Amino acid sequence: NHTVQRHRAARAKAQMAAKEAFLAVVLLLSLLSSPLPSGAQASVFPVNVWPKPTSMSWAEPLAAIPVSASFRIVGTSGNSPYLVSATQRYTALLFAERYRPIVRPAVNVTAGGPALQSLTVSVSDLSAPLQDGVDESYELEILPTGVATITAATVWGAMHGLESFSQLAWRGRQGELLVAAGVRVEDKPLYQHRGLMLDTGRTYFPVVDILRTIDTMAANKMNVFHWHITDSQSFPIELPSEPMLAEMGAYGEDMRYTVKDVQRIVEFAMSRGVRVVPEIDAPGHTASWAGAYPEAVSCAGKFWLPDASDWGSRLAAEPGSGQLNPLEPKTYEVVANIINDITSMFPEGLYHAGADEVTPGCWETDPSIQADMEKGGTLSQLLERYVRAVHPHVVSKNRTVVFWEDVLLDVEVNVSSSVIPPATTILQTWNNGANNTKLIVQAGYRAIVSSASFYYLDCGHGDFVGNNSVYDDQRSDYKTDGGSWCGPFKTWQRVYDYDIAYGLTAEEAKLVIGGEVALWTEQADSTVLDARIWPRASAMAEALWSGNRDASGRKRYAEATDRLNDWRHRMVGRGIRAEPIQPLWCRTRPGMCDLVR
Amino acid sequence: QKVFVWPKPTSISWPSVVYAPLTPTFSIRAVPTHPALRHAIAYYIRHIRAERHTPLVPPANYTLARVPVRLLTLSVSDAQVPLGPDVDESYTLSVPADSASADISAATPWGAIRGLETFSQLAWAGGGEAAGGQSIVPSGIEISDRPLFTHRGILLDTARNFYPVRDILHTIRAMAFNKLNVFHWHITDAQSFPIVLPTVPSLAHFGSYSPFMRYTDKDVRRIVNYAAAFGVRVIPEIDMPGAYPEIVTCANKFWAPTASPALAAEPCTGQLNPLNPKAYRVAQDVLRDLSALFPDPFLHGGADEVNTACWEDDPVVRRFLSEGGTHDQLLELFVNATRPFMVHELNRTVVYWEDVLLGPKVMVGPTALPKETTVLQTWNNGAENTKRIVAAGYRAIVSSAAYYYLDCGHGGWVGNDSRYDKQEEEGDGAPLFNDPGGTGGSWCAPFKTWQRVYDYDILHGLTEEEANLVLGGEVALWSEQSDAAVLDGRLWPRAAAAAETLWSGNKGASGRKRYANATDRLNDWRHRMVARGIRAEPLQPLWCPLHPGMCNLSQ
Repeated sequence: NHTVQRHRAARAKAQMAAKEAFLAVVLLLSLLSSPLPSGAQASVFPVNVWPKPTSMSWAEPLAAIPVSASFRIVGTSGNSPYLVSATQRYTALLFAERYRPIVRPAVNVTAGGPALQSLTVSVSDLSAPLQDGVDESYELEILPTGVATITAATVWGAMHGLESFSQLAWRGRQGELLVAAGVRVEDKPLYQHRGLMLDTGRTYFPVVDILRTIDTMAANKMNVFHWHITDSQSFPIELPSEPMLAEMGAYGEDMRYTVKDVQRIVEFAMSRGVRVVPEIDAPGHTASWAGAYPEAVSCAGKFWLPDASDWGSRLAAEPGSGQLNPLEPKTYEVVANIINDITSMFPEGLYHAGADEVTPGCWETDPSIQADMEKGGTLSQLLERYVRAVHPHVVSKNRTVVFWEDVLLDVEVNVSSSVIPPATTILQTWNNGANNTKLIVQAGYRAIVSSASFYYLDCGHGDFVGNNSVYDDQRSDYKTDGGSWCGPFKTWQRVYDYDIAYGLTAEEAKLVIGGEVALWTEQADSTVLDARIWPRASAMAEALWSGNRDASGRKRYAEATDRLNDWRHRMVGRGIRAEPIQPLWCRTRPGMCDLVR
Repeated sequence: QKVFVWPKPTSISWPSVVYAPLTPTFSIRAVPTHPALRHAIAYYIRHIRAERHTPLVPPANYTLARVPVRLLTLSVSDAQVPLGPDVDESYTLSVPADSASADISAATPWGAIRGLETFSQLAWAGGGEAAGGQSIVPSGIEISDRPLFTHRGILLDTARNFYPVRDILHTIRAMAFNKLNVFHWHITDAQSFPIVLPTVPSLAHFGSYSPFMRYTDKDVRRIVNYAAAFGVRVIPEIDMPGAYPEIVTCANKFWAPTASPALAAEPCTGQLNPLNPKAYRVAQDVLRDLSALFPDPFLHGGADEVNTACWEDDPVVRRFLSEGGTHDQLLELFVNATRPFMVHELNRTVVYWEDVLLGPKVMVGPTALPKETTVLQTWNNGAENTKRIVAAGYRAIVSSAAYYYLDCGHGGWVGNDSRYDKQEEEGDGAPLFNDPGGTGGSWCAPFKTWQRVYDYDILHGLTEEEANLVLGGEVALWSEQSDAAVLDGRLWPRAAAAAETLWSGNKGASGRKRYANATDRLNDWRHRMVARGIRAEPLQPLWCPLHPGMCNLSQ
């Protein structure tokens, strides 16, 4: 039933032929001018590791050996509790997993030959803490003689090696456990910050969902769980100094993260080499604080869009209006308590302070702010007053402050860069694609890239606001955007193809520490979480780990398709309800489902 | 006062807000008993006793009746009516004040089953201690209910990706929760042939994805019987096979060659060759087997998206064309060789996709498609094509892609697609693809939200006479980007939106569209479905139903 698709595809192809020729020239030029990433492997193996390692070789003729029932993973040098738990975890996974590749690997298995007896893990610096910029490199070798080794600078790199090892194992015809032999992997990430942002403010997610998500992140070698904990809709975290916020702001008693829950999440993530960056979004997005502190929140409880035909009349970017009043002393008292509590609950060196989408209409409804404006004050001054108080406090806790780009780039309400020194500030971009990344790094800031038109996983799902007559149109709707502000849906290829350092000089590119895919949860909860995130987050995970190009410098999305089909299949087997990217037919007929042969 | 039943019944009368608890031994009995109701009664007894629904915003200020309800009695006036098109699904339900028993009366067993579902949704966990921890139901309530349309369905494509039997059963159960009554099973397609047919087992042997991805005749009977127990018809659809290479043109070719027209609408090429007599022998074997497995009077013959280039790939076809034959004649040959067989030998009404009559490229004349035994299913051009179908005198099933295709708006899935590799905003004048307003690669973008589905008037622009020919509608899930991992979230609650519109309409008593009012009710119903094990996706943040009206676009 896809006639129209065919017509469009046919049209697009004619355009593409011309573009491809042009692209080839551009690529050739770029190859001449810049050195290739060294050691990149062009070939696709019958069994692969996702994200694709920087370098992997598998000796010809391809062979696999059985894994001995007494197989063990051993650490050589000293003990790290995280390494010990990781070795136990991966030993258990290896024997429990029943992964059978969709296409049976064409490799030699020597009957009666050696079996894999052990995997030895050596780590040179067992005490390196998990933090921004930590060395995550590793080397993995599986010899046909039945011996395997992982060498890494840190425990965190060793965990990546263990994950790669686990992905090189599969079940043979009789269910026997096999592992690729004659394999050598040398691997390290392109970007140090490879994250997923989850919004638990619009929708509460049970702790088990968060743990499963973090576990899957680790399997994808992602290392930052950006936890957008609170928003206007709910305040689900219990803070010892500010218990009223959750008491009055959470959806319900059973929808709160206790101190113990947070500990469990942070510890679980640490044991998987995943950092947890907490975000308490403010001063916008704080309607949920008003239950506890009505005096600190402007415009709370008001209808969000007084005039449906005038976007400028809005009090918030979406239903649930309310933002902190910077003129109110209570605001600072509460925020200070929050910073103290959050920094003691989360060991992570980055603290995300939000500051996105400060909405003029909200502050303008507040009598105290109106009075201030009559005296000549501006909304930007108001925001600056707030940031001046918050930023140094966070820094005093020995944290780097992350803000959304709005704090600097918003056209209506913003602060001067002097109040957010680049040395202690990172900006996270979400608008205007590569343009804003460029603005941020040119201003001297480190950047985390979450451009909505590539990395927002919630986009393209229509609108969620009610009483919306736009859908009541009996004409065909091919030309409408369906109500999603950031539509269309971002396919895995779209995510995969994004070059987060696009258009930057080499110097500027150094300030891009990485990226995060983001799931805002107006239309997602526990029932659909996995499918919204996976396997599209996996697409980013590879692009930020080893890039989205092959050894020749060409984008490798075509080659990645079958590998991602396999990885998705494996993730589903591991209990993740990742969505399929194609009919199963495609995986068994390589190339036949491509747009261009 | 609030009575949460989805789809909303045609009429409810409940003068005073009184609830009666159910007794722990609450039971259901049909008088007289009828075998068709046995499974439904057993299911709903168990279900109603166990379920403890807490509405998102529970009703406040109500009184509890003194007399608990211990029995629900069903009376059916004609217990012999078989499940099929046009069956009477009306029922009345009453819980008399201060009575220990409630009643459902229906013309047929199938109406009684709808009433059972309604009763189950009336029950919720209020009352607490005073109700002895049992659910309570409105007391002194009278409901009179019947559907606007007789055909309310879901199409599931099990060929692009395979769904295990339990997922199909689970979907049929969820359909019954929503009073949907047709499971249109798009069993096979170019990509796979997962059904094992006794006379032609080789089709599944060569055409299924794997031995574990096949529906045996036992599976099919289980599905058909399970569906019947819930009053759900199963209409099978077969797209013709690739297992006999000699009867299929253009099989296993790349679908979109650069220098010539595409051979199929999407990857995986192959069509039956109407000039090969063996094609008809196989087709008749397939159809005979199908009719033995599926008792429903409707049989779906497919016939969408016939591709001329694919046929022309075959030398025999090319000779036929060069000797003055036409593509339309080829299709007519096929229709004439299979349709009468289905009608006369198998006693079936044949459903085809609209393409067979409307083209645009290949079509047959109305004489080859007698109206009495043909139903056409529309999927293009919204209300326009429905009008063309009924104006030609055919009965119509509406599945307009722009409203009812649940797979739309999820981007493209073909590989090696460089269109996503654009780092900059798309320039003025260029067609949008990745930027807002662009399709993102989905031919039928954007995503159809529940409001979009809900608001569709499938009779739009028809005269009264024409409207009588519209049997109903089906939402459709084509499975290029779906499988068991994501099935529930793709179908629900959007199929529920169609279910209400097709059951009692999308307008309130005043004639105004009621999508605003439906929002909170659907939030609650989705919440209940999730508790019933259906992983339906959320419509809104929980904040919205907790703050009624505050998440609207206009106040």
